[in-house]
Amino acid sequence: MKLTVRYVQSKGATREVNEAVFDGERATIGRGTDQTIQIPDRRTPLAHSRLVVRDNKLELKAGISQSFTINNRASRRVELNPGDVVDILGHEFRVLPAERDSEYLIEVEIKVSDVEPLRDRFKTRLSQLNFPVRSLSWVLFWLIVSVSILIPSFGFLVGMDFMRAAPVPDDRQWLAGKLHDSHAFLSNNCESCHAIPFVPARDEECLNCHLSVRHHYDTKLLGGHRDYQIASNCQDCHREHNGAQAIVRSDQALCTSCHSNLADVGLNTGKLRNATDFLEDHPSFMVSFLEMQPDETWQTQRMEVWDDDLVEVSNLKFPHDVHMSEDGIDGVDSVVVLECTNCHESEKGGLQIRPVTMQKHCASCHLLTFDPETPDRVVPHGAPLELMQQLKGYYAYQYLQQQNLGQDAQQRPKPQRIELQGGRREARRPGKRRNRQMITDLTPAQSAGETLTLEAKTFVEQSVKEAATNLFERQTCTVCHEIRPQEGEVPWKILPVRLTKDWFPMADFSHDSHINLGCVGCHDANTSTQAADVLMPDIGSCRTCHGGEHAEERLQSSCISCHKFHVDNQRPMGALLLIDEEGNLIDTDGNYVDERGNIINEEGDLIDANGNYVDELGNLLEPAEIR
Amino acid sequence: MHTSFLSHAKGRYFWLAVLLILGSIVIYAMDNPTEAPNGGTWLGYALGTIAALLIVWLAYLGRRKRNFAHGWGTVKGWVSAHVYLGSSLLVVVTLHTGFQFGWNVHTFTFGLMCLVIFSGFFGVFAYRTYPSARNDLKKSQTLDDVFLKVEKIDTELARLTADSSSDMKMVVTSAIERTVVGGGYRDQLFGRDLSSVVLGGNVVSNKGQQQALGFLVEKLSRTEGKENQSVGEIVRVFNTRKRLLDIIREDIRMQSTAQVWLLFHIPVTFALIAALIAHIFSVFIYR
Repeated sequence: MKLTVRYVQSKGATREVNEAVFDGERATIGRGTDQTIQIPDRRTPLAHSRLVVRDNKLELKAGISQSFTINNRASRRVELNPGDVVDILGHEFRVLPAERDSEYLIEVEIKVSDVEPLRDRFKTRLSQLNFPVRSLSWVLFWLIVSVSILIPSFGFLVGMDFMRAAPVPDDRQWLAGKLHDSHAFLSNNCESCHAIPFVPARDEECLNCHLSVRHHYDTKLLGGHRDYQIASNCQDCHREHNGAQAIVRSDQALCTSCHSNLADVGLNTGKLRNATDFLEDHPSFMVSFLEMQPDETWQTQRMEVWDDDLVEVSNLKFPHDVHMSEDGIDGVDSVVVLECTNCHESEKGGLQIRPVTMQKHCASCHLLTFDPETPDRVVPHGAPLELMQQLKGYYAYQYLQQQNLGQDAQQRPKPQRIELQGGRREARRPGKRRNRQMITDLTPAQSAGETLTLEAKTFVEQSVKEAATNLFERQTCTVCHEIRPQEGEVPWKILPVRLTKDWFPMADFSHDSHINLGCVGCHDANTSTQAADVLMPDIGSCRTCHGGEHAEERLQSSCISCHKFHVDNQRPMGALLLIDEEGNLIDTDGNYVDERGNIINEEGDLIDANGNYVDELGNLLEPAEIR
Repeated sequence: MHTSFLSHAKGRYFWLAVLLILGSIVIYAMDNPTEAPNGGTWLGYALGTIAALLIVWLAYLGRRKRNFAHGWGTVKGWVSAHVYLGSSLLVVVTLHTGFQFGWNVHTFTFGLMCLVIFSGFFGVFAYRTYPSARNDLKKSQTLDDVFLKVEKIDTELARLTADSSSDMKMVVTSAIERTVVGGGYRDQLFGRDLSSVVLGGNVVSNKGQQQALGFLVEKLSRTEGKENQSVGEIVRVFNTRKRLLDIIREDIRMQSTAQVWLLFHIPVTFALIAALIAHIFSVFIYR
């Protein structure tokens, strides 16, 4: 067959026409490029239908499951005649009478405007919405880098305070956790601790404020290098940014790394014993107490609390048992039942007990009267010379009171001596009402001399001697004090009294937090008959309730529950006071020091406070070792 | 045989992640730091270092996944590692914080990481669910195939309504012309149907082709004989078209949902890396 295909394309009012001539058995129609009549429309199958000649008639036959319409009727197979119009998926095939040398002529109009695929009319994929993932990602990246790094870092150039005052992001966003309560006021002031970027907070910054914090050990013996084996900077034990409460390291390991065996780490000074755990391995307690030397100075002694030889020689006489009697003890006017706390008051916080004083704790019962006729008149406490002078004045005045001025000396009645009942006189001690004690060995006074002056002098001397002897030796001073005879205006010497203020200076014990135990639970005072008894408890008493850090069924207590790391009587760690114009460090004593607080001379050599060359441990250097 | 990325290599990365999580928990429980647990203890630094390296590496994996042909390992292996090791970060990094949170760049970083991981969880859900659901929906056809079917039906409807009354022709033609699928984010993600139809001279919503279908069905009930037959044919074809449109809309919804998390996951990952740099920078500048 010889088939002319005329392709017609409408362009507005004009038409563009192309012709192609086919000569063969069978013409195919479809989208495929191998088709005789190609329909460039995605809806059209690759092969749709075919044209064949049957009995000299042109026949259109649709492929499997395909169809078309002819003159608006659906069909799958049809004989074509001139004038027929076939519609294949909207494209028109018009059959025309043959022209020229062709046997058949078909005009094909591809409806280009209709062939836009339906799908392309809509946005059916997210990707078609062009969400700016890439640019959004980089915008977020640089936004955060700017807000959290670049802009705050600008403060290193212009000052952080300037940035914090300005309405821009500043370094406060870097705060890595709440500060301890006591440092919370520094929360907006990072550089007060973090002075140098990328350098860990230095001890110098801590010690700027904590000048008085003490060293753990004697730096003169062990050097000021602050090397505590497992910790050498403030930060090793005091970690910040962990919230409002936690800042002190409290584990036992911190201490036991050295104290489990001080000799092993070369730190045995002979005074300290090893300890690893309060319950398992801790030495018994030693007490510190004062002992008077022959020259009347006092020195601190240390002894085991269980030692039978342990006595306190305070020069005070005081039986606890008498004063703590459950039935009470005689007061001035009535029986008084004393509580421990009547005399032993704790300081605020309960760490220390306030000193017991005569004036405050004893004088209300132990009246220093000397004459029953004038019970309101007392001698001063603690001033023997003044006491003697007061007595003299008193008796001189009494003598004068009894003179009948203007009469002849001979006729004047003799001054009335204090009459003793049968040579006895009432003792002035607490409890006079119930348990009267009589002083029986008083000798009658001598009579007066020839003249008024002599008589008066004799009267006064006699009376003073009698009263003073009573006071010192018999009824008042000697009750509580050790008295020795001596030469001089006051022929009695009262040995000085010093009570030990802190029996356990190496540990802190809060009486307030143990108040529910009662005093005698630890201090065996109600059976103590003399002041020499040391009433301090040993470790067993504590271990009843307290155990070590990992103890079970006991209160878990680590080393720093009782012991302080920073020892009160050691040198301050914060030795630095100021920095001079040349950048030299100067300590609180005015010495040039290195960064560790060791004293140095102008050449930078280590010296001691006296200017001698020393090594890092403070040992004097031999002349040969000095460079 | 096909295995999911979740069970790749007998769950190698699953077990690796479990090991990492359990290991972190056990060491955290056994560790007895001398201060409150925080990112600055030795364990804090260790967990933080592992986590930071993992984050950078996993972010790189996200990029690596696009590159099928190069580098070692399989894409499926990389995805498996990305999912499991990424999930393990939730535990590792929480332990790294020592449960210390605050209004600072550090907790901000942690928050961003959680956003990235949880959006990733959605991604896993989407990848596990939607491809097979879409396949079931379309009976192994492509979306293009369904669209072509609709186009064919449109042609057929045009032919069927050629001799119909003008109101009928108007309804069918306008319903076809005013059919809308897909569109913007809301339209795609929630299958919102903005199709409309001209009914009685008014443009009304034709959501789910219901209005047009209602008109045709009513028309059907009021015709008889041959006309009834031809209207019936139109209703049948129109209904087929409606069902195809429903499939298209549902398919678009699932496909876009399966992709939308990435529009979040990727930018937030970039934000996370920036915050991570700021976090590390700030803890070292103020040590």
